[in-house]
Amino acid sequence: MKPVLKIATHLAAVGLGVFLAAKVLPQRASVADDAASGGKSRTTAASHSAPDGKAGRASRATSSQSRSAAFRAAWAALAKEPLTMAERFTAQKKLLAEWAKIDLHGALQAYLGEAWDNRNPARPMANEPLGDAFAEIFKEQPMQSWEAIRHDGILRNRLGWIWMNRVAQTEPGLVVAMMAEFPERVQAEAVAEVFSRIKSITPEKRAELLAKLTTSGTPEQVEKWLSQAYRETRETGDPAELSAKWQAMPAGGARLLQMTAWASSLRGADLANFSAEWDKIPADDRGQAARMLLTQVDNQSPALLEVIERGIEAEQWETFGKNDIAGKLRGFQTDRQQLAEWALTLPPREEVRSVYNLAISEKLLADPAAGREWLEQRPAGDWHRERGFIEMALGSLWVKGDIGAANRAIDAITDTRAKEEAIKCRYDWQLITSQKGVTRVE
Amino acid sequence: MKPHSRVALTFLTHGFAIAAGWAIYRAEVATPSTAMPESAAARTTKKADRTRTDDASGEAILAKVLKEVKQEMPRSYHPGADTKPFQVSQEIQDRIDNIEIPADFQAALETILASAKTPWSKEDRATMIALSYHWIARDPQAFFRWASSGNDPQRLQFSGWVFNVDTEIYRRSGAAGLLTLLGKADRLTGQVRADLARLLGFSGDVNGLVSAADGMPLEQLQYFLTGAARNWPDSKQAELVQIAMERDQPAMLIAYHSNRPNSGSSLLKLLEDPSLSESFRTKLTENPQLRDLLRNDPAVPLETRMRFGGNPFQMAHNDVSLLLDKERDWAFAFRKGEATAEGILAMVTAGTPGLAEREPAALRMHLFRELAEESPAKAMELLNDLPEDERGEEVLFVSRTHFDGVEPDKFLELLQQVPANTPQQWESRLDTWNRRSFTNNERLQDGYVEWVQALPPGLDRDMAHYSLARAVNESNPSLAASLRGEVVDPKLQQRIAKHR
Repeated sequence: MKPVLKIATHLAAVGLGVFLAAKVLPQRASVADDAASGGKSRTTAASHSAPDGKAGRASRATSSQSRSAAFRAAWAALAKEPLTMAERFTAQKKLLAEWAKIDLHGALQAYLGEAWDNRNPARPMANEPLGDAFAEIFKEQPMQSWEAIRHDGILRNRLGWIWMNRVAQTEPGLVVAMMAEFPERVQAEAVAEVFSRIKSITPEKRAELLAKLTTSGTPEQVEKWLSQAYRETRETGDPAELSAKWQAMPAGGARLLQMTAWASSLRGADLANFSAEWDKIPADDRGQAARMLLTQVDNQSPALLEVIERGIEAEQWETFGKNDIAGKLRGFQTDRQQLAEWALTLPPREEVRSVYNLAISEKLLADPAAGREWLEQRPAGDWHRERGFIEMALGSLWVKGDIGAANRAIDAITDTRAKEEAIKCRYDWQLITSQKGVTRVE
Repeated sequence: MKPHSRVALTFLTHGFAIAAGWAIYRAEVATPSTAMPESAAARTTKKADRTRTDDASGEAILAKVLKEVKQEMPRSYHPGADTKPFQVSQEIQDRIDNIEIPADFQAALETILASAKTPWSKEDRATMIALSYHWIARDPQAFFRWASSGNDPQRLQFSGWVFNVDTEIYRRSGAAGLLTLLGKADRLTGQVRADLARLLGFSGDVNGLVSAADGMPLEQLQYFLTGAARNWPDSKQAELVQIAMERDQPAMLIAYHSNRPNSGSSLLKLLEDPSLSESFRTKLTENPQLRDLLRNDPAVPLETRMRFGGNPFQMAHNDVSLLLDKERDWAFAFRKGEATAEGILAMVTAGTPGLAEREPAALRMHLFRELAEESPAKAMELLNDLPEDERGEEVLFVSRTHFDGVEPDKFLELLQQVPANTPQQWESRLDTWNRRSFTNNERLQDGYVEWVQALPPGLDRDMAHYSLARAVNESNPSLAASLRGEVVDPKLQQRIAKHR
């Protein structure tokens, strides 16, 4: 063989060696490609199948970091653009929504860095004009996105209700199961959304969700949620049957559910029917029964005042303090003079103070001179008299904006602590309504 | 060497060569960055990366978004600027022409309603509109009775749906086509009437408007005519003035101008139009809405604005708010450091020269109130001319009366512009904490509690705890007690001991 030919055939053999190696070791080659590219963006099948999975995770993370950095740059550059408010909000919402898909945490931090009040002229009534940008990601990745907001008190309160609202449309069961994690206001919104606003929930599904609700929180929370759910949608079953049903059940969530349904079914009951049902309640259950009834009645309930009396009789003070029982008197059809006289029979306790105030306020404001005379018939220092004048001052400020009338009411108060309280109320009114000067309690 | 030995050697050396090739491959892929030049695979990856960076760079992302915003919100748009008649899409027109007429319209519509996903696909939407169009053509009362019944949330989307049907009826049959429906539209009568007004307006249909107005009940007439005027084309303004005068409806012209830029200036020009009758001009001049629009337009001369009831303080507030969104969102630019307070003041001054000359302090003050919420420390330069006491009082007042919904950090930054050791402002400082803790707690709940608890020691931390305790005292007495326990300021402690 000539030397040139020898060299050529040996070189060809080297090439054949390279070829064979490449054929036999393909997987190796792929891994090496990743290494060669610095692991920046490759997510080949080989990298996914790496034994510990680290290569895949690392490359994905780096890629999303670099994309997130691009969004951060775009976000910063947006400030230089001469956009109007409405245009700027629209651009920011679009950026946030896309950014959230690749780096929710980064998008949330950017969101927190913008003004928290609503300046968007296109949506002047929206609470969180930019918050909607996260609606899609909340719906698509509910658990991951909840994890991203739940640990931050500000995010939880600003975005929690958007998360709840989005997820409730497709997964109401998940929302119900997670109730206890929400801020209190979001809990109330969630009950309204799932048990009242979403019309596509069938009666069977509703029953299933109600049962789930009974296991989603503490007994106090469950009682509160059930009360609201039945307030939102009234029970139409027969009170006598419902009463018999819960009385035959052992203590627990299922019994509480039936009891709430029973209380709800009595919302429209007249006095005779209400009394007949009340008489059947065993003494041991009367506290809880009164509590459930207090939350279910409204200003259309003929037995509203009787239910309030039963609540007082059963000493359900906390229920008066934590629920707007007094608000049920607004629009309640009754003679206001008689209602004011009834209010004088209320016990002198702070828990029922707001019920007392609501029951007398219309009488006091309709004819302040007569109201004043009515209060002055009571001895100085009397609880009903002193609190009555505080209510008169409050009504003069908040309903009539008449500080002169409020001052006259305050002057009529004889008890020092009561007078200080009235002055503090006037101070709060001055702060909240942005009065130039304020009168303080030193 | 014997021939067979030579063959054996040749096999051996070629075998070594193949092995060397194998070894070279292994060496190449094992240490690509050091032992060998960059591999072809690596080069390809880098090239792909570069392409990706170009497509997904910050600039590219922003450019894409800005393009979308421009398309969705064209600045030149205002009703009447585009005189093309309002029409439904060709796809919907074709569907109306080609759809198979069902024996039972209600069943056909309800089948789609039950299965369609919201938001509706174009396909479902076109079919719904086409079916409704044909049902109305055959039995309008039956359609509207069905459409008005119940309150299925799917039907809440009716406004857009019915508007599209009405649009097509108008295109094919003119105003008369919709006028005949007014007595048959059940609970949607108001909707059909409003749609007719909008369509007549968009089209600038003088004859249609006049004939529709002739048959309109008196109590509906003004609402109907202003609805049409609001969208009336600019090119037919003279005809609109004529109709408004003939019908004695000054509200039509006010509605027309109020829906367009520079409404005050345009109305001022209208008042000078010699073709107006004197009585009509007087009615226009006395109209409260016109007076409001005139005095709130910074482009109207100051004397005129004042003649129409303008109050300098309110006008300053109005002009600052308007000018801050002129051409760009200036408050946002200020927040991000892209504009200075003095620079924005110069822009505002140029935008309302008469008022700037007469009420420079009021303008400066209103601007401070707007900008303080964005970047409090930087906004302070607007108050440089005030004596220190007055400056402190203004800051504390603004922190109390403004800052609703504003970040607690910004509120604190503003407060820190007032020294904490000024006894005369101690009470004002507490006032603002009492106000803001109430609103911030309302909105942020435990998030605000956490924020307060993380504040560094000092008077503001004490006032924050004290005021938050006041705000949560009734709803959460144990939290209130624990917050009060954190207060170390002796004066606040005395107050706690005295009152609670």
